[in-house]
Amino acid sequence: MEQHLFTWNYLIAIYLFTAGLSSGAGMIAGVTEILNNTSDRIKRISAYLAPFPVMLGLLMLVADLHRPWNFFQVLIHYHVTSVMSWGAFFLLVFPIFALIFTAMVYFNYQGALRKLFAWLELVLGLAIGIYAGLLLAAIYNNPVWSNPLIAFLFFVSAISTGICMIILGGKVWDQTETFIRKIMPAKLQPEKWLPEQISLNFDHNIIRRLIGIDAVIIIIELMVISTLIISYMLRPTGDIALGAIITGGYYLTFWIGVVLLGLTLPLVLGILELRDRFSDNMNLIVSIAEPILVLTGGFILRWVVVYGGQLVYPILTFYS
Amino acid sequence: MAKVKPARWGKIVDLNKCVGCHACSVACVAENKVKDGMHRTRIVEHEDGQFPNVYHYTEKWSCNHCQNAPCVDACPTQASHYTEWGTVEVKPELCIGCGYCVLACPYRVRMMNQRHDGGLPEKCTLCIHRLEKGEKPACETTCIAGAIITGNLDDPNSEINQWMAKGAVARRPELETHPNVFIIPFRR
Repeated sequence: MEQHLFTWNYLIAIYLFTAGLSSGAGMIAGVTEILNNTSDRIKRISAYLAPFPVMLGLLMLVADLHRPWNFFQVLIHYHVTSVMSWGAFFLLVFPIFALIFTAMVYFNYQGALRKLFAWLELVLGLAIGIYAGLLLAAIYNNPVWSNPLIAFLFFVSAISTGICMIILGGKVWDQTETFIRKIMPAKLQPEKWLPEQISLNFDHNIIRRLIGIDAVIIIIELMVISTLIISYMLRPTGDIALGAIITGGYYLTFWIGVVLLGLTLPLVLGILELRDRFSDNMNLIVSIAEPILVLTGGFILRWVVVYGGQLVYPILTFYS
Repeated sequence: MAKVKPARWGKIVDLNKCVGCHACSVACVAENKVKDGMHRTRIVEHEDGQFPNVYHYTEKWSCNHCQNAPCVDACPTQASHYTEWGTVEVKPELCIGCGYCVLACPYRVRMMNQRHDGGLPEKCTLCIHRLEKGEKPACETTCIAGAIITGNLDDPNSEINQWMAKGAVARRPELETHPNVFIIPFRR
């Protein structure tokens, strides 16, 4: 039976994680464009990054299918009662609209359609963020997954990991640009062959602002996790769920990988950073280590929930 | 040509008669050419009671052909569908092999085939290809204890409805899946 225990494997965890990244970045790109009072640099880097993680995730999703040659069927046959069918629709349209919005931001298009695409990016990002958790929460017979708080946890985590991807992406973009400026002769400077708006100038003030927002969201995430545990305790099937991810099964991965390394440590680092407890050199290291920790924790969270949820299935056979 | 007209067919397993010989499981594999390591029906062993009054019984476990099936609701392409025999089947031309139905099934009776074996979810079809010819399913013809019966649930005079009167119940009725497959619970 062991080979049949896990129907879904790590590819689904990667897919849920990347869908969360795209959702978070897409929502931030949409909100910053609509409000139009935040840093232009945050808006641009989130718009540049939003479409790509989920495209990688969709490749993982197709790789996980047992009949990948039939993949197009999910795009032409829809079923209203299936959460996955809704998700397939959103995942089909999100990368298309997000790529158009990326092009609009990159080429500095200022027409009337820009506002519309910002709204689309926000709404579709919201839909994908909700869908990623709802896909699992809709399986109502599974004690681990059939909890609305799982969907909420994935959604909050999507925003948090999305912000961290923006921090890392902005930092990498900025460093690459500095490096290119350093090695290129004057004739071949970026302004000569790339549009002017390529320069992000992603300085430490922006990173500090993003780390501040992320700290609040991490606190919300910790609160959701504690509420989730209480919600498991209150249910008749809660012992099974607790035994799969909280007190047994993957509990070490969960407590060390997610709660300690993925949430508490980056929260402490972020608060120390905001209170200027680090030297300039340490600032650089922390501003890279903090998002990497959050991203790793976000992936491990999906991994634990996907595998831990499937651990409970053999027990379900003996209900009666 | 089909000898028997489609109707709401069902199955009853009498757990008091079942001896747990696994013959139904093997007959099903042979009849439906199920791949290595896969089973459409299997034997689940139950141990129950408080010491010293403990007891043990076996149960044939397979698709319950729910009339309100979670797997059909979950399928994104409508590949899992209800047939005119009241059973649940998978259309191979629509199935993408996502495994969502396997996870959605509260009875855990589906299994995913490997990609090189076609990648379809393996499940009981109530042997419709035999029912159409007027034959009984492979598990029923093989059962040495006579613990399995299939028949037309809509026909009040059928033998299956006489078995229903003996106290047949649905598995996990609280899920409101309304199965077409019933069990007569084990009595000590």
